Amino acid sequence: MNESHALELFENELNAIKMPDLWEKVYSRVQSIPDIRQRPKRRSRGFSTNYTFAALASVILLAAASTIYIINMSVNIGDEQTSNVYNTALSDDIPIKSVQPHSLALSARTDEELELMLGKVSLNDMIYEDSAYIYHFDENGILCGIADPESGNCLDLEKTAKLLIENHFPEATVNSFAVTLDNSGEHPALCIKADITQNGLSITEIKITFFTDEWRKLLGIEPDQG
Amino acid sequence: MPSDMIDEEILSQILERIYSGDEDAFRELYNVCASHMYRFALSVVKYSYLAEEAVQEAFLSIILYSGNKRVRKAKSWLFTVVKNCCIKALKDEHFSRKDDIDLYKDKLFSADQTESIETPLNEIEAVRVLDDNELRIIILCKIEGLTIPECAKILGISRVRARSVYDYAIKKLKKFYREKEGQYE
Repeated sequence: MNESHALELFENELNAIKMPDLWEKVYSRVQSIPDIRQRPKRRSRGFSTNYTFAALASVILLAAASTIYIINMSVNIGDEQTSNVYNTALSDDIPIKSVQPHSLALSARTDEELELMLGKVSLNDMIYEDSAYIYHFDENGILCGIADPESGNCLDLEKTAKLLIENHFPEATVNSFAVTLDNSGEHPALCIKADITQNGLSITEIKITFFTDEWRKLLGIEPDQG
Repeated sequence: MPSDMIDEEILSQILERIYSGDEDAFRELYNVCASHMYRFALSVVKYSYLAEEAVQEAFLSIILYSGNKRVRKAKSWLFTVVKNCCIKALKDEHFSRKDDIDLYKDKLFSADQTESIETPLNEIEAVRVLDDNELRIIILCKIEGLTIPECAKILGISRVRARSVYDYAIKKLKKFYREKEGQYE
């Protein structure tokens, strides 16, 4: 007895359950809502305009189909404190979190996860696996990738960040690139810092921070509410 | 009752048409989905009349959905709506205000009492070897074609647990049907 045969037998038995005809009841209930009959026809909204910002390109996630997600990128040029803040467009089911000028809050679900974010992992432990994800660390103990063992999707933080930079600064030369931690904000943040040069202009810092729930989105996983 | 799973693309298109004001699309939604929704609702609430109530309420919720976001993963959303309406139907039966499906199940009946409950599911011998979550996971995952993570989210359990429940349910069904076939040899 193999799995598919057992399921076929089970489904056949389930299909034998007779379902009552509920159409009249369903229709009456819907029609009983007063404003249903007067409800104006909704235009297909497509992507919500709330999520449209200036200067945006969609970013292609490496291991999954094209996904648009939020990344807050701040660019400091020269001695200026702040400059342009780029927000990528979101796919409509990713809610916008409240953002600060230079980073998105990154909140850990557990103390253990927080420690991971802070890089408190032994250099000997290049991979950490919890019940949900597999975390990959580089030789410096910095988180560099997150994988979902069930779907096989893997997010490479460095590659994703470089792709973002290429999309927004196609003519630029990347002089240095580092993954660092930023504990200066309300929540610890994992940052990708890049020093690039474009058209003679030196951009000293591009900081891209990743928000915890966004990792799950990037992996194509719904936020864990269980 | 349904023999084919709901097609995700077709469901998405029907929903788009409904929210664009296409009145014919609603009937189409009923034709495509009602029996699937009823079957899942039965697995949650057991009683036919509660399943009927939940399905009616689910259709109403779908029509009244006023989110400004396009529905992604329409099937997963659909069954989530059904689950929520099942909980509402159970609450309306004057049980205590809890959100957990299993807490309501405990109020309704214990495992020993399940067989004495008049529910269409008891007509199926194989259903009795499965516990509630196992039945729901099999329906959602194998019969309706949802993924384990989607099932876990709908049922409010972790993905690890959902995977383990699913594996165990499959083993139970295989054993049941193997033994049943052995009886007729």
